[in-house]
Amino acid sequence: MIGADFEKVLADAQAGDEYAFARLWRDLNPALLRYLSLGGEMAEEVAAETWTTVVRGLRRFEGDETAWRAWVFTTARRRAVDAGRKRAREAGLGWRASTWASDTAADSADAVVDAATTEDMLRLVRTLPAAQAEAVLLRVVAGLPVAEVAELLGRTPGSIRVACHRGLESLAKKLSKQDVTQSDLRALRG
Amino acid sequence: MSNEFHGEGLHDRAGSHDDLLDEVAANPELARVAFLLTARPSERELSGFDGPLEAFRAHVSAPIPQRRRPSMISTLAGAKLGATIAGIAVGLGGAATVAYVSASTPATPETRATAAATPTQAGAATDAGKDAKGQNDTATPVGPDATGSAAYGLCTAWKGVAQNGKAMESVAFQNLATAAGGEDEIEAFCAEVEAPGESGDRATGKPESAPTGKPESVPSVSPTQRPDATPAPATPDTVPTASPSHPTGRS
Repeated sequence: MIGADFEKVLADAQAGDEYAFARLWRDLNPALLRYLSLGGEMAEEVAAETWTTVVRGLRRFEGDETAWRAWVFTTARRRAVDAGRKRAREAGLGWRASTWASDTAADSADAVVDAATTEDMLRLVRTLPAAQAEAVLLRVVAGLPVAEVAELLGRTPGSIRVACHRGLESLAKKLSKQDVTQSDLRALRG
Repeated sequence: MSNEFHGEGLHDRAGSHDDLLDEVAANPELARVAFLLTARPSERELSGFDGPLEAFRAHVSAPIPQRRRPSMISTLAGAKLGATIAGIAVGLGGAATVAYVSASTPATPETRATAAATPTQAGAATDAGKDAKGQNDTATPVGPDATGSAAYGLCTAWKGVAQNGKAMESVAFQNLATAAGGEDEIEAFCAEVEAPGESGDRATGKPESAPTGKPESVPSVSPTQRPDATPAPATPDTVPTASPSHPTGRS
């Protein structure tokens, strides 16, 4: 989060200040990539498309930092849905917009993941049902309040709370299970 | 929980995390998940700024001189606008100078790569002038030609910022000093610079009195002929937003 400086940083960026724009980008791009990792390998490409769209509308944007983050992630999701639809069409598969992230989850569902890094953790997130995965990443990584996530995903605030809670609980259990597995392995080696 | 993770954590993030913050704070396992998810950005996550920067330059910080036709740069409006931007840049400590100057020259792959390779510095820097100076090394700034029609605009801008110690950091004013024969000579040089239109063959000033009555004879020139020069627009395409910093002191 940029925090108290956000208003000025945004105004400077809207006036053409490249350094201000770099600060906006730097603050949000890591979270954006982590969220878009739900879509698999296309994350970086979709992030680039997202920034292009955001830049085009930058001068017209009005709002505080929460609104800014919500706008960027809403844009990212639209670009991800477009990319997922295109990918499904090219592969001759059926397509539902709500599942842009789910088709990549299965590949790591049964994998043994030692979640020692953020990347490993994101791999675990991708094993969650898509609704939970999106809720967790938008709430925890993007830092969006419940109301914004609900609007972004077209669901009720209550369902977002439940999905996020269940997702986090599930991730914690997976981590815990891994810890037991790792501990067992060490005991066997010892 | 390993000490190798330095995630900023939910408590440092948006103050609106309310119930989620409570939930995570009360459960160490959830906290571990949250810390892993919000750990510091990797190098990979902070690379790839060149594309967004290119889009930004194309759609937001589009250079004013590039948008204008070459002939317009030498007009009074163009010269004054350039000088105004240069003056504002000095007032802001040089940050805008880079935007203006680098915009004056086509961005080379090298300059784009430099900008892309240093998002950390650019993003974290609060001393924009310092970074701007560093970027000038690769941007090959040229600034307006102080020996040409931009001289009057530069002199006007100079009067407003001459007391600013950072004024000479601007390439525009360095050009002015060169044209004057030295920084100390700028004042004398500017005293000799006439406003565009004061000494030219083509009168651009307003007549003291408006002609009255109809002409007695019909002009022999066909009315379909257009003048050689297009009058400068009354207002520039892009209006500087920092109006309080107008170098001429006008509001």
